[in-house]
Amino acid sequence: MQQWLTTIIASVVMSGMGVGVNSVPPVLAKDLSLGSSRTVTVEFRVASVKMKKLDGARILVIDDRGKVIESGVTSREGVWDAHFVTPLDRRFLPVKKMGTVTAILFADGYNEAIIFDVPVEQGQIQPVMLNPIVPNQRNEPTAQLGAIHRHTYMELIRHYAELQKLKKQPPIPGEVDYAPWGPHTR
Amino acid sequence: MNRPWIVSVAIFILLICSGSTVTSHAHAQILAYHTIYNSPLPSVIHIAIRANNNPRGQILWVQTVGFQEYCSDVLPNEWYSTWNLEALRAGAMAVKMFGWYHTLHPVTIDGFTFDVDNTTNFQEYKYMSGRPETDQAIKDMWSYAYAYSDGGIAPLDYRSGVPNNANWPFNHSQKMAQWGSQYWATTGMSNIQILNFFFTGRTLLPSP
Repeated sequence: MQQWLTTIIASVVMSGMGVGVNSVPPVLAKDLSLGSSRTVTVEFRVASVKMKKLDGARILVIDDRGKVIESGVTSREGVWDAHFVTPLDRRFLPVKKMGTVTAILFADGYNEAIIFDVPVEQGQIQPVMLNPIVPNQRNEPTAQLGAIHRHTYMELIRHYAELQKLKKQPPIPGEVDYAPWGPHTR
Repeated sequence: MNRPWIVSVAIFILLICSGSTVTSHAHAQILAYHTIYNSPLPSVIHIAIRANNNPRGQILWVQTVGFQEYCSDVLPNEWYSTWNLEALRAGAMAVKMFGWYHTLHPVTIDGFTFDVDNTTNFQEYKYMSGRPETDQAIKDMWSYAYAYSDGGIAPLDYRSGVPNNANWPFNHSQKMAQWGSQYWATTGMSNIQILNFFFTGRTLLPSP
Protein backbone atom coordinates (compact mmCIF):
# COMPACT_ATOMS: atom_id res chain seq x y z
CA MET A 1 0.00 0.00 0.00
CA GLN A 2 1.30 3.29 -1.08
CA GLN A 3 4.75 1.86 -1.52
CA TRP A 4 5.93 5.05 -3.19
CA LEU A 5 5.21 7.01 -0.01
CA THR A 6 7.30 4.61 2.05
CA THR A 7 10.16 4.92 -0.41
CA ILE A 8 10.11 8.70 -0.27
CA ILE A 9 10.00 8.77 3.53
CA ALA A 10 12.85 6.25 3.73
CA SER A 11 14.91 8.29 1.28
CA VAL A 12 14.37 11.48 3.28
CA VAL A 13 15.30 9.80 6.54
CA MET A 14 18.39 8.11 5.07
CA SER A 15 19.67 11.25 3.42
CA GLY A 16 19.15 13.08 6.70
CA MET A 17 21.30 10.48 8.43
CA GLY A 18 23.93 10.65 5.73
CA VAL A 19 23.52 6.95 4.96
CA GLY A 20 25.19 5.94 1.73
CA VAL A 21 26.75 9.34 1.33
CA ASN A 22 30.33 10.15 2.24
CA SER A 23 30.91 13.16 4.43
CA VAL A 24 32.54 15.17 1.68
CA PRO A 25 32.53 18.87 2.49
CA PRO A 26 29.61 20.47 0.69
CA VAL A 27 30.45 22.29 -2.51
CA LEU A 28 28.74 25.61 -2.64
CA ALA A 29 27.56 27.18 -5.85
CA LYS A 30 29.88 30.12 -5.32
CA ASP A 31 32.83 27.68 -5.21
CA LEU A 32 32.12 26.38 -8.67
CA SER A 33 33.06 29.50 -10.53
CA LEU A 34 36.11 31.66 -10.44
CA GLY A 35 33.77 34.53 -11.22
CA SER A 36 33.18 35.98 -14.63
CA SER A 37 35.63 38.79 -14.02
CA ARG A 38 38.50 36.52 -12.93
CA THR A 39 40.31 35.50 -16.03
CA VAL A 40 43.18 33.12 -15.28
CA THR A 41 46.44 32.96 -17.19
CA VAL A 42 48.00 29.57 -17.86
CA GLU A 43 51.38 29.59 -19.56
CA PHE A 44 52.04 26.72 -21.96
CA ARG A 45 55.72 26.01 -22.65
CA VAL A 46 56.25 23.68 -25.57
CA ALA A 47 59.42 21.83 -26.53
CA SER A 48 60.42 18.72 -28.40
CA VAL A 49 61.40 15.69 -26.36
CA LYS A 50 65.00 16.63 -27.22
CA MET A 51 64.42 19.89 -25.36
CA LYS A 52 64.24 22.23 -28.35
CA LYS A 53 61.75 25.05 -27.80
CA LEU A 54 59.01 24.90 -30.43
CA ASP A 55 57.83 27.99 -32.26
CA GLY A 56 54.40 27.98 -33.92
CA ALA A 57 52.80 25.09 -32.07
CA ARG A 58 48.99 25.37 -32.03
CA ILE A 59 47.28 24.78 -28.69
CA LEU A 60 43.55 24.25 -28.16
CA VAL A 61 42.11 24.59 -24.67
CA ILE A 62 38.93 22.59 -24.04
CA ASP A 63 36.75 22.95 -20.98
CA ASP A 64 34.84 20.31 -19.01
CA ARG A 65 31.85 20.65 -21.35
CA GLY A 66 33.90 19.90 -24.45
CA LYS A 67 33.96 23.47 -25.71
CA VAL A 68 37.12 25.02 -27.18
CA ILE A 69 37.49 28.07 -24.98
CA GLU A 70 40.84 29.34 -26.19
CA SER A 71 43.34 28.71 -28.98
CA GLY A 72 46.74 30.14 -29.78
CA VAL A 73 50.24 29.62 -31.11
CA THR A 74 53.57 29.49 -29.28
CA SER A 75 56.17 32.24 -29.61
CA ARG A 76 59.82 31.81 -30.62
CA GLU A 77 60.48 30.88 -27.01
CA GLY A 78 57.93 28.06 -27.25
CA VAL A 79 55.55 29.94 -24.95
CA TRP A 80 51.85 30.78 -25.23
CA ASP A 81 49.82 32.49 -22.51
CA ALA A 82 46.22 31.33 -22.46
CA HIS A 83 43.66 33.57 -20.75
CA PHE A 84 40.30 32.08 -19.88
CA VAL A 85 37.68 31.50 -17.22
CA THR A 86 36.81 28.00 -16.10
CA PRO A 87 34.87 26.55 -13.15
CA LEU A 88 36.65 24.89 -10.27
CA ASP A 89 37.13 21.14 -10.52
CA ARG A 90 35.03 19.44 -7.81
CA ARG A 91 37.50 16.55 -7.52
CA PHE A 92 40.20 18.81 -6.19
CA LEU A 93 38.07 21.05 -3.96
CA PRO A 94 38.87 19.18 -0.72
CA VAL A 95 42.53 20.16 -1.07
CA LYS A 96 42.79 22.93 -3.61
CA LYS A 97 40.62 25.43 -5.42
CA MET A 98 41.59 24.97 -9.02
CA GLY A 99 40.01 24.19 -12.35
CA THR A 100 41.19 21.76 -14.97
CA VAL A 101 41.06 21.79 -18.76
CA THR A 102 42.21 19.58 -21.60
CA ALA A 103 44.78 20.82 -24.11
CA ILE A 104 45.51 19.47 -27.58
CA LEU A 105 48.72 20.44 -29.35
CA PHE A 106 49.72 20.43 -33.01
CA ALA A 107 53.13 21.33 -34.44
CA ASP A 108 54.73 20.88 -37.85
CA GLY A 109 57.01 17.86 -37.86
CA TYR A 110 55.61 16.49 -34.60
CA ASN A 111 52.93 14.08 -33.53
CA GLU A 112 49.92 15.54 -31.76
CA ALA A 113 49.65 15.48 -27.98
CA ILE A 114 46.65 15.64 -25.71
CA ILE A 115 47.13 16.79 -22.13
CA PHE A 116 44.42 15.80 -19.69
CA ASP A 117 43.78 17.67 -16.46
CA VAL A 118 45.89 20.75 -17.03
CA PRO A 119 45.64 22.56 -13.67
CA VAL A 120 44.07 26.00 -13.90
CA GLU A 121 45.34 28.42 -11.31
CA GLN A 122 46.58 31.95 -11.75
CA GLY A 123 50.19 31.80 -12.97
CA GLN A 124 50.09 28.07 -13.69
CA ILE A 125 52.87 26.82 -15.96
CA GLN A 126 52.24 23.77 -18.13
CA PRO A 127 55.32 22.35 -19.87
CA VAL A 128 54.59 20.03 -22.81
CA MET A 129 56.99 17.79 -24.72
CA LEU A 130 56.14 16.74 -28.29
CA ASN A 131 57.45 13.67 -30.12
CA PRO A 132 58.90 14.26 -33.59
CA ILE A 133 57.50 12.38 -36.58
CA VAL A 134 59.84 9.48 -37.35
CA PRO A 135 59.62 8.03 -40.89
CA ASN A 136 58.92 4.33 -41.17
CA GLN A 137 57.80 4.11 -37.54
CA ARG A 138 54.40 4.15 -35.91
CA ASN A 139 53.54 7.84 -35.47
CA GLU A 140 50.55 8.49 -33.25
CA PRO A 141 49.37 11.12 -30.75
CA THR A 142 50.54 10.84 -27.16
CA ALA A 143 48.44 11.38 -24.07
CA GLN A 144 49.96 13.10 -21.06
CA LEU A 145 48.78 14.28 -17.68
CA GLY A 146 48.75 17.95 -16.72
CA ALA A 147 51.36 19.37 -14.36
CA ILE A 148 49.45 18.61 -11.17
CA HIS A 149 51.87 19.18 -8.32
CA ARG A 150 53.12 16.18 -6.35
CA HIS A 151 51.85 17.70 -3.10
CA THR A 152 48.39 18.22 -4.59
CA TYR A 153 47.85 14.62 -5.60
CA MET A 154 49.43 13.34 -2.40
CA GLU A 155 46.98 15.46 -0.41
CA LEU A 156 44.13 14.27 -2.57
CA ILE A 157 45.01 10.63 -1.95
CA ARG A 158 45.27 11.31 1.76
CA HIS A 159 41.89 13.06 1.81
CA TYR A 160 40.03 10.24 0.10
CA ALA A 161 41.89 7.52 2.02
CA GLU A 162 40.87 9.16 5.31
CA LEU A 163 37.35 9.61 4.00
CA GLN A 164 37.13 5.87 3.41
CA LYS A 165 38.82 5.15 6.75
CA LEU A 166 41.62 3.21 5.14
CA LYS A 167 44.59 1.99 7.13
CA LYS A 168 48.22 2.75 6.44
CA GLN A 169 50.57 -0.03 5.40
CA PRO A 170 53.48 -0.97 7.69
CA PRO A 171 56.27 1.62 8.04
CA ILE A 172 59.00 1.45 5.41
CA PRO A 173 62.56 0.97 6.70
CA GLY A 174 64.58 4.10 6.06
CA GLU A 175 61.57 6.40 5.77
CA VAL A 176 60.65 8.95 8.41
CA ASP A 177 57.06 8.91 9.62
CA TYR A 178 55.71 7.67 6.30
CA ALA A 179 53.85 4.68 4.93
CA PRO A 180 51.56 4.33 1.91
CA TRP A 181 47.85 3.83 2.41
CA GLY A 182 46.58 0.26 2.12
CA PRO A 183 43.37 -1.40 0.90
CA HIS A 184 42.00 -2.33 4.34
CA THR A 185 39.64 -0.21 6.42
CA ARG A 186 40.02 0.62 10.08
CA MET B 1 119.31 -18.22 -8.83
CA ASN B 2 119.22 -21.00 -6.28
CA ARG B 3 116.55 -19.17 -4.37
CA PRO B 4 113.99 -17.66 -6.82
CA TRP B 5 111.53 -17.00 -3.97
CA ILE B 6 113.85 -14.31 -2.64
CA VAL B 7 113.58 -12.47 -5.97
CA SER B 8 109.78 -12.77 -5.92
CA VAL B 9 109.53 -11.37 -2.40
CA ALA B 10 111.85 -8.50 -3.30
CA ILE B 11 109.75 -7.58 -6.35
CA PHE B 12 106.53 -7.75 -4.33
CA ILE B 13 107.93 -5.46 -1.61
CA LEU B 14 109.14 -3.07 -4.30
CA LEU B 15 105.68 -2.91 -5.90
CA ILE B 16 103.95 -2.25 -2.60
CA CYS B 17 106.38 0.53 -1.69
CA SER B 18 105.94 2.19 -5.08
CA GLY B 19 102.16 2.03 -4.69
CA SER B 20 101.69 0.50 -8.10
CA THR B 21 99.45 -2.40 -7.17
CA VAL B 22 95.85 -2.52 -8.35
CA THR B 23 94.56 -2.88 -4.80
CA SER B 24 96.18 0.35 -3.75
CA HIS B 25 94.56 2.32 -6.60
CA ALA B 26 91.10 0.93 -5.98
CA HIS B 27 91.41 1.76 -2.32
CA ALA B 28 92.36 5.33 -3.10
CA GLN B 29 89.24 5.72 -5.23
CA ILE B 30 86.95 4.43 -2.49
CA LEU B 31 88.40 6.88 -0.02
CA ALA B 32 87.96 9.91 -2.32
CA TYR B 33 86.36 12.64 -0.22
CA HIS B 34 84.55 15.35 -2.12
CA THR B 35 84.44 18.82 -0.69
CA ILE B 36 83.26 22.12 -2.08
CA TYR B 37 86.97 23.03 -2.26
CA ASN B 38 88.20 20.09 -4.35
CA SER B 39 85.00 19.52 -6.33
CA PRO B 40 83.84 22.75 -7.98
CA LEU B 41 80.17 23.48 -8.55
CA PRO B 42 79.23 21.52 -11.69
CA SER B 43 78.40 23.44 -14.83
CA VAL B 44 76.21 20.65 -16.23
CA ILE B 45 74.35 17.58 -15.03
CA HIS B 46 73.45 14.41 -16.91
CA ILE B 47 69.77 13.49 -16.51
CA ALA B 48 68.25 10.15 -17.45
CA ILE B 49 64.84 10.91 -18.93
CA ARG B 50 62.21 8.38 -17.92
CA ALA B 51 58.86 8.35 -19.72
CA ASN B 52 56.18 10.52 -18.07
CA ASN B 53 58.41 11.20 -15.05
CA ASN B 54 57.56 7.70 -13.88
CA PRO B 55 60.16 6.39 -11.37
CA ARG B 56 59.71 2.87 -12.74
CA GLY B 57 59.50 4.00 -16.37
CA GLN B 58 61.98 3.01 -19.03
CA ILE B 59 65.00 5.27 -19.51
CA LEU B 60 64.61 6.87 -22.93
CA TRP B 61 67.89 8.78 -23.15
CA VAL B 62 70.32 10.89 -21.11
CA GLN B 63 70.12 14.66 -21.44
CA THR B 64 72.90 17.08 -20.47
CA VAL B 65 71.55 20.28 -18.94
CA GLY B 66 73.12 23.35 -17.34
CA PHE B 67 73.30 22.76 -13.58
CA GLN B 68 71.53 25.96 -12.52
CA GLU B 69 68.85 25.43 -15.16
CA TYR B 70 68.38 21.93 -13.77
CA CYS B 71 67.89 23.28 -10.24
CA SER B 72 65.41 25.88 -11.53
CA ASP B 73 63.43 23.13 -13.28
CA VAL B 74 63.37 20.92 -10.17
CA LEU B 75 62.41 23.30 -7.35
CA PRO B 76 58.85 24.19 -8.54
CA ASN B 77 58.08 20.49 -8.94
CA GLU B 78 59.29 19.66 -5.44
CA TRP B 79 58.17 22.73 -3.46
CA TYR B 80 54.95 24.70 -4.07
CA SER B 81 56.07 27.95 -5.67
CA THR B 82 53.44 29.76 -3.60
CA TRP B 83 55.18 28.83 -0.35
CA ASN B 84 57.08 31.21 1.90
CA LEU B 85 60.34 32.50 0.39
CA GLU B 86 62.43 31.07 3.27
CA ALA B 87 60.97 27.60 2.64
CA LEU B 88 61.77 27.99 -1.04
CA ARG B 89 65.34 29.04 -0.20
CA ALA B 90 65.80 26.00 2.07
CA GLY B 91 64.41 23.89 -0.75
CA ALA B 92 66.71 25.56 -3.26
CA MET B 93 69.71 24.62 -1.14
CA ALA B 94 68.51 21.02 -0.83
CA VAL B 95 67.93 20.72 -4.57
CA LYS B 96 71.36 22.19 -5.33
CA MET B 97 73.35 20.09 -2.83
CA PHE B 98 71.47 16.93 -3.80
CA GLY B 99 72.32 17.51 -7.46
CA TRP B 100 75.93 18.49 -6.71
CA TYR B 101 76.48 15.29 -4.72
CA HIS B 102 75.08 13.11 -7.48
CA THR B 103 77.21 14.69 -10.21
CA LEU B 104 80.11 13.31 -8.16
CA HIS B 105 78.52 9.85 -7.93
CA PRO B 106 77.14 8.92 -11.35
CA VAL B 107 75.40 5.57 -11.77
CA THR B 108 74.92 3.16 -14.65
CA ILE B 109 71.49 1.56 -15.06
CA ASP B 110 70.20 -0.35 -18.09
CA GLY B 111 73.29 0.63 -20.03
CA PHE B 112 72.86 4.38 -19.40
CA THR B 113 75.33 6.32 -17.28
CA PHE B 114 73.87 9.41 -15.62
CA ASP B 115 73.93 11.57 -12.49
CA VAL B 116 70.19 11.77 -11.75
CA ASP B 117 66.92 10.88 -13.45
CA ASN B 118 63.86 13.09 -13.92
CA THR B 119 61.75 11.36 -11.28
CA THR B 120 61.41 11.04 -7.53
CA ASN B 121 64.11 8.36 -7.65
CA PHE B 122 66.23 11.51 -7.39
CA GLN B 123 64.35 14.80 -7.82
CA GLU B 124 61.40 15.53 -10.08
CA TYR B 125 62.64 17.46 -13.10
CA LYS B 126 60.50 18.94 -15.85
CA TYR B 127 62.07 20.95 -18.65
CA MET B 128 60.88 24.59 -18.81
CA SER B 129 58.89 24.39 -15.58
CA GLY B 130 60.79 27.14 -13.74
CA ARG B 131 58.75 29.88 -12.10
CA PRO B 132 59.81 33.39 -11.05
CA GLU B 133 59.47 32.70 -7.31
CA THR B 134 61.50 29.51 -7.35
CA ASP B 135 64.05 30.91 -9.82
CA GLN B 136 64.63 33.76 -7.37
CA ALA B 137 65.16 31.33 -4.49
CA ILE B 138 67.73 29.42 -6.54
CA LYS B 139 69.57 32.66 -7.34
CA ASP B 140 69.48 33.74 -3.70
CA MET B 141 71.22 30.55 -2.55
CA TRP B 142 73.53 30.02 -5.51
CA SER B 143 76.62 31.57 -3.91
CA TYR B 144 76.33 29.33 -0.83
CA ALA B 145 76.75 25.67 -0.01
CA TYR B 146 75.31 23.76 2.93
CA ALA B 147 78.03 21.23 3.75
CA TYR B 148 80.08 19.73 6.57
CA SER B 149 82.35 22.25 8.28
CA ASP B 150 85.34 20.96 6.29
CA GLY B 151 83.35 21.49 3.10
CA GLY B 152 82.37 17.82 2.70
CA ILE B 153 79.54 17.39 0.22
CA ALA B 154 76.61 15.20 1.22
CA PRO B 155 73.18 15.01 -0.40
CA LEU B 156 70.43 16.97 1.32
CA ASP B 157 67.70 14.37 1.19
CA TYR B 158 64.04 15.28 1.66
CA ARG B 159 60.53 13.88 1.75
CA SER B 160 57.04 15.34 1.55
CA GLY B 161 56.19 15.15 5.26
CA VAL B 162 52.79 15.89 6.76
CA PRO B 163 50.89 18.92 5.43
CA ASN B 164 50.46 21.95 7.70
CA ASN B 165 52.51 20.35 10.43
CA ALA B 166 55.85 20.96 12.16
CA ASN B 167 56.98 17.45 11.23
CA TRP B 168 58.89 16.87 14.48
CA PRO B 169 59.83 13.26 13.58
CA PHE B 170 62.09 14.78 10.90
CA ASN B 171 63.94 16.92 13.46
CA HIS B 172 67.70 16.19 13.00
CA SER B 173 66.79 13.14 10.93
CA GLN B 174 69.11 14.19 8.06
CA LYS B 175 66.00 14.40 5.89
CA MET B 176 64.01 17.56 5.35
CA ALA B 177 60.21 17.49 5.36
CA GLN B 178 59.03 19.76 2.56
CA TRP B 179 55.80 20.60 4.38
CA GLY B 180 57.85 21.10 7.53
CA SER B 181 60.01 23.68 5.76
CA GLN B 182 56.87 25.64 4.90
CA TYR B 183 55.50 25.29 8.44
CA TRP B 184 58.67 26.62 10.06
CA ALA B 185 59.08 29.38 7.49
CA THR B 186 55.64 30.70 8.39
CA THR B 187 56.66 30.82 12.06
CA GLY B 188 59.51 33.15 11.12
CA MET B 189 62.45 30.79 10.75
CA SER B 190 65.10 31.68 8.20
CA ASN B 191 66.26 29.23 5.56
CA ILE B 192 69.38 28.32 7.55
CA GLN B 193 67.34 27.77 10.71
CA ILE B 194 65.03 25.51 8.75
CA LEU B 195 67.96 23.51 7.37
CA ASN B 196 69.49 23.23 10.84
CA PHE B 197 66.18 21.90 12.17
CA PHE B 198 66.40 18.91 9.86
CA PHE B 199 70.15 18.36 9.42
CA THR B 200 73.05 18.14 11.85
CA GLY B 201 76.79 18.63 11.42
CA ARG B 202 76.44 20.94 8.45
CA THR B 203 76.87 24.62 8.02
CA LEU B 204 76.27 27.35 5.48
CA LEU B 205 79.49 28.12 3.63
CA PRO B 206 80.32 30.54 0.83
CA SER B 207 80.55 28.53 -2.37
CA PRO B 208 84.12 28.94 -3.71
